[in-house]
Amino acid sequence: MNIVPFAASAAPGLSKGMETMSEVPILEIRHLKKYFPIYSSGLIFSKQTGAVKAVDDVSFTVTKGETVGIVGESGCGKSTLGKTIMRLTDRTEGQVLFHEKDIATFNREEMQELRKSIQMVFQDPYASLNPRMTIGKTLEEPLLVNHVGSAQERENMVREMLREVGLDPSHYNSYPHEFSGGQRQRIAIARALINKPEVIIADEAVSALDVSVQAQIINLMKDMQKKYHLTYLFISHDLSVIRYISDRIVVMYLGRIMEIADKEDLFTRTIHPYTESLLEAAPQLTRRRQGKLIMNMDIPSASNPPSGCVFHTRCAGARQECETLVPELLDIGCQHCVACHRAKELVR
Amino acid sequence: MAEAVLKIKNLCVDFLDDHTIVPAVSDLSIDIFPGETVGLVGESGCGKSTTSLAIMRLLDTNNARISKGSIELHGQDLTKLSEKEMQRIRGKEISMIFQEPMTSLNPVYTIGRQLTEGIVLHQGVSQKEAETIAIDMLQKVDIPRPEIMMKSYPFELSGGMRQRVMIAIALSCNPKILIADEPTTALDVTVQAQILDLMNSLRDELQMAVILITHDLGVVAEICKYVYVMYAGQIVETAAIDDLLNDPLHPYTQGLLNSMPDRWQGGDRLYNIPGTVPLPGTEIKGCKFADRCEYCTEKCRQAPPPLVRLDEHRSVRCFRSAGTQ
Repeated sequence: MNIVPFAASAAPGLSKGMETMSEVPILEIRHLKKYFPIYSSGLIFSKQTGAVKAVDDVSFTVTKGETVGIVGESGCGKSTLGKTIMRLTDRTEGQVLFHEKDIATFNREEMQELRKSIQMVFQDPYASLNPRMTIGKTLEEPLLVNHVGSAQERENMVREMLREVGLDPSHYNSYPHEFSGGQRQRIAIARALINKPEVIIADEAVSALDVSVQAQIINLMKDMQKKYHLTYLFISHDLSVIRYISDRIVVMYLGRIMEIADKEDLFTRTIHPYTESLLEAAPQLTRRRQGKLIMNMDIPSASNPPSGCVFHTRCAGARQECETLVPELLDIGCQHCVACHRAKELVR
Repeated sequence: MAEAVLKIKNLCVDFLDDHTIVPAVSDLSIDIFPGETVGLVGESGCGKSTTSLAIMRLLDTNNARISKGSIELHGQDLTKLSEKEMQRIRGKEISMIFQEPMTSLNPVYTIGRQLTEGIVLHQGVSQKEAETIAIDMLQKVDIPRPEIMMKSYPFELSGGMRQRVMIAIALSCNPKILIADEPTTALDVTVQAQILDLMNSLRDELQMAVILITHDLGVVAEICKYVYVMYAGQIVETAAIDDLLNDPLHPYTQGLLNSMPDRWQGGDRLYNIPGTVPLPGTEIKGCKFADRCEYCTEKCRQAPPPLVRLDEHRSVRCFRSAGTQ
């Protein structure tokens, strides 16, 4: 890879972002599938006896500068989706297009460029930072891998980045254990931003934090988005956080998309029964819990998902066809897509 | 009004760290009545879990001690009991469930064995009888096919099922008090809702008192009657849940509520409380929240504000809100 000065490498992405802010999709996910094989030991060789369908036929697009929230219960495939988009794990079928190019066809060099453009922030800031590396070293490493600048330039960039995420640049030589959870998450964000990426995949990035710290980190992420015209894929199980930060929300269940809609649309015009029960279950400040919930069963196993509509076993309004036919993700207007056989009746 | 089952008076817990004493909980008083759920809310490090461990006398005696105060269960001071006497209380009078149901169940024993252990110990029945009681208990927590469940191991169950088993174990000897330390934090919202419903109905059925320890005000709002808000080892505000949500008095409670995305009123940013929680062991002369408080005055820095009782269920630890400025 040729050596690109830091400022110059950031510039094209920025100017492009401003011009094409609205329409051109930066990421397009087409019928993406990720199956994890299950093996059982045979006589001599082990053989594949099944698969966990972690991500099953997922399609959506992400436009430059928007925040797409991905929400669902544990095991619904939202984290696997994030990893497959980054090609941290190879897809089974389908395509992930980044700037209209399929990332599965990328060679080594293109992959390195891609990793620069798409970055990830993980849930646990205690586990995602190397305890034996100073903060300066941790933040310098992404620059080093991409051969950016001289040692002095890199140090300056790191100090500048620390300041930007609200940390004191004098922490350059500190170790992760000297920081609180919120500060560590700031470091993780700084590390993701240092190569000026276009897309950040935040996998439960604020879930482990206390409410007041969570608010600080969410604000920081919003500020950074504005400043660098970032596109966020925000994966979380917390509906209130997703509602606050996202422009568009994807609701997943057992590896499939149940509903996609603009934020306000999803909350004011909830159509899919699964989304509805998810909203119903989320704790609310204004409600006192009384009586039983409708959905009173555990989530089925992804290795043996129900036939037809995967949600039919827990759905109060399930019909005959739900057990056999897989519902398609249908646009019911205003880019509000629902995968439910009863969608048309439920809209009205 | 009924008699309080548990009276905690002026409880102080200290941690010992290389001969320095770090106060973790100071001057905490709570009364708990049967059939009620009270919430203990606060952020990490505020001393809420330490309080629960102190009630159960589960603090590590090598580096923690109850330095002051009393914990009275039916007039009997738990802080003065010997370890042997305490064992008769744990599980029988006061039970506890924890956040992570996988780590609190023993992976190498069947559910049945873990469930009957306490029943045999506390109720002095035979293993056979204990098993009948255990199956009854599993039915009570809505576990399907309890006979099969008795022979299962923890790894075979989902997170929600494990937490149900934990609740069954905790309630198997009809305790008067259940301490639930972040019982639903590791669970999905749908499962969380089921567990909260279950705790609610069992509380009414068994007329026990529940102490819910959590960082999640949403959960507290749904099932608690009274709330104690903790900050840096102290109770800063107590109130009935509706009063607390509609009219929070302490600036910390206000900040906490305002920083929740649920309360976001539009605008570009979420509210956040400036600064961070003081490190444990920092010497603070005045109010512990003073550095982060927008209403802070000279008086707040000079003397610690007392917890002032405003009416029967409402107290606040703030000069300004209590009107004693």
